[in-house]
Formats: sequence, C-alpha cells, structure tokens
Amino acid sequence: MIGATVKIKGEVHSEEDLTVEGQIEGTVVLKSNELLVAPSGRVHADVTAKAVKVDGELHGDVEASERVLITANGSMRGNIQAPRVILEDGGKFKGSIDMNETAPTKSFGVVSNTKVAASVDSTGE
Amino acid sequence: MSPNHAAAMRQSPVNTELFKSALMAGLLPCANQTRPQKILDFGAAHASTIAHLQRTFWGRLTVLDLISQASEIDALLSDDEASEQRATVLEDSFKPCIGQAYDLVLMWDFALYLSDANLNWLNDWLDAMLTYDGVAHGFVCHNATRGLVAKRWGIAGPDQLEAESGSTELPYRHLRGALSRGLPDFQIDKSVLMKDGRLEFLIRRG
Repeated sequence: MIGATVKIKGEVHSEEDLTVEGQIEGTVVLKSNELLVAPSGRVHADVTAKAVKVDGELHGDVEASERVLITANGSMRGNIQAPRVILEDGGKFKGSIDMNETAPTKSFGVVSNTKVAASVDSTGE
Repeated sequence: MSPNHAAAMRQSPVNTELFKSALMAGLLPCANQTRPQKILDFGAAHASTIAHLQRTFWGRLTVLDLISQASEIDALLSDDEASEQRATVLEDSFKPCIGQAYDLVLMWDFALYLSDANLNWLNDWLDAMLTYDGVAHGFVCHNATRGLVAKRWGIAGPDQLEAESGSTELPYRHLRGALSRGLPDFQIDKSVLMKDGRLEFLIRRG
C-alpha cells in the first residue's frame, strides 16, 4: 500500500498486489499481481501488471495480462493492452484500446501470416 | 456542451434509449476481418461500446472524448485572435490519434456542434484521419425546425445504438445539404431517418 500522503518518483517493482492511495510518477511493474489505484490515488506512469483497477486517476500506458477495470469514479488517459477491458458507467477514458489481438486464430479462422502482419502493425505504432 | 455538462451526463445516465441502426449493422467489422482495423470514437468512452467491440472486433479503438469539448472547439475555430490557444487545445484533443489512419470514425453528434464554416475544418481532419476507403458515421438534422437534444451515444449491439439524453439542445441544425457543402471531399453514402429526428449518415471520400 502506498498511503495517501506518499509521493514516489521513479520505478516501482512489486511481487505482491499494490494499492496506491498517494501518487506515483514514473513506471510501475507488477508482472504477476494487481494494481489498484484508489479513489485518492494518482498514478502518472506506464504500468505492467496482471490486472489493473482504476478507481482514481491513471495517466499512462497500461499492459495487463488479464484485465483492466475502470470504475465509475475512475479516470484513465493512455493506451491499454489487455485481453479484457471493462469500463463501468461513469468511468472516464481517453486513449486507445487494442482488442482481441489473439482473436483471429481463435474465432475468425484467419491464416497465421495475416496475424503476423497485425503484430507488425501493432508494434510499429 | 460544457465540460461540466458532459460530466453531469456521464454521472446521471437517466433516460437511456435504444435505437435500431441499419447503418451500423453493415459497418462494424466482424468475423470476416482479415486484418486488424481501427475505430476512432469522437464521443466519450462508453461502457456498452467497449463491451460490444471486445466481443466482436479485432483491432484498435481510440476514444477522443471530443464531444465534451466540441463547443469550445467551435468557439476557438471561429476566433481569429485565439490561434495559440486553438493550437494547444486541438493538439491535446487529438493527441491519441495523431499519425494514425482509421477505417471507421464515429462522429455521433459532433457536426451539430460546428458552424457551417467550421465544418470545413472537420472535412480536413477527416481527410487526414480516414484510410483511403474509410467511413465516417454521424448524425445531422432531418428537419431544421426541430431542435435536437444532446445525447451520449454508444454501441449496444450489432445493429443497436444506446443513447443517454442530456438537457441541452445541440447548437446547430445542419441538414444533409449543409453537411455535403461543409465536407466537400466526402459524399454521403447512405442515410436513414431515426425515430428522434436525427438523420443518421455514412460518408466516404467523394
């Protein structure tokens, strides 16, 4: 937990779930864990995590291996890469969401070389 | 619509309506996608849109939340003295989509926030943002004597739109002809009258 009066500038690495009630500016890496930005929390950072819940303010790009949830009170600005993105009514988001990057081989039956082209497009931006 | 009003609309989504949309039905990328596509949404992020596209769409959705600033943008575009402020606001507003080309632009009511003269500015932006065979979707008025109330739009299903009504009337009442004159590089591909008096349209490069 990063308390409401704590401000951190730099890289935050954690191997346990992290709740931010204060402020972080920089980078947050929780590869196998969840980041919760509490209502008072302000995270201005690129985030890598298993799951991210935004109940406060998050500015930065997010890469999550499971899901991103922006609650009704949450506000996010940046790009999201995650298999599942949920926006609750009232939640604010500005930026891009990359959707179903693995979907073509699973449900659309697209040949594999098309998917490679997609990866090039996606990483080239 | 002021930012405060837009925020109020988000926080109190009373009076949600569903609209059948024949145009949207043929527009959204689906199972026959052979490449990832890109959609640009001028509106505010909408829970239904994100949920629907996640089930059906392969590609990138970019949300600009531009409609909440549309009246400010219209005023800045009309003020010759405000060039510096205009550049700052526009750069910030369009930042998420700079350098990208989109297959589909969802403009919703955006054209009804711009004066006739400022529709030309929209023409240039669409020209820059749409792929060669890209499509833009939006609404104008069907009848200029009837004002339209601002709505917050989302996609509820393959052929269904969802709208939460605000309390303010949209500032302009452009008809189909005004749209054609204001966007000379595009032509109206299809249009359908909706139950609330909006004319839903698709435009492509002319």
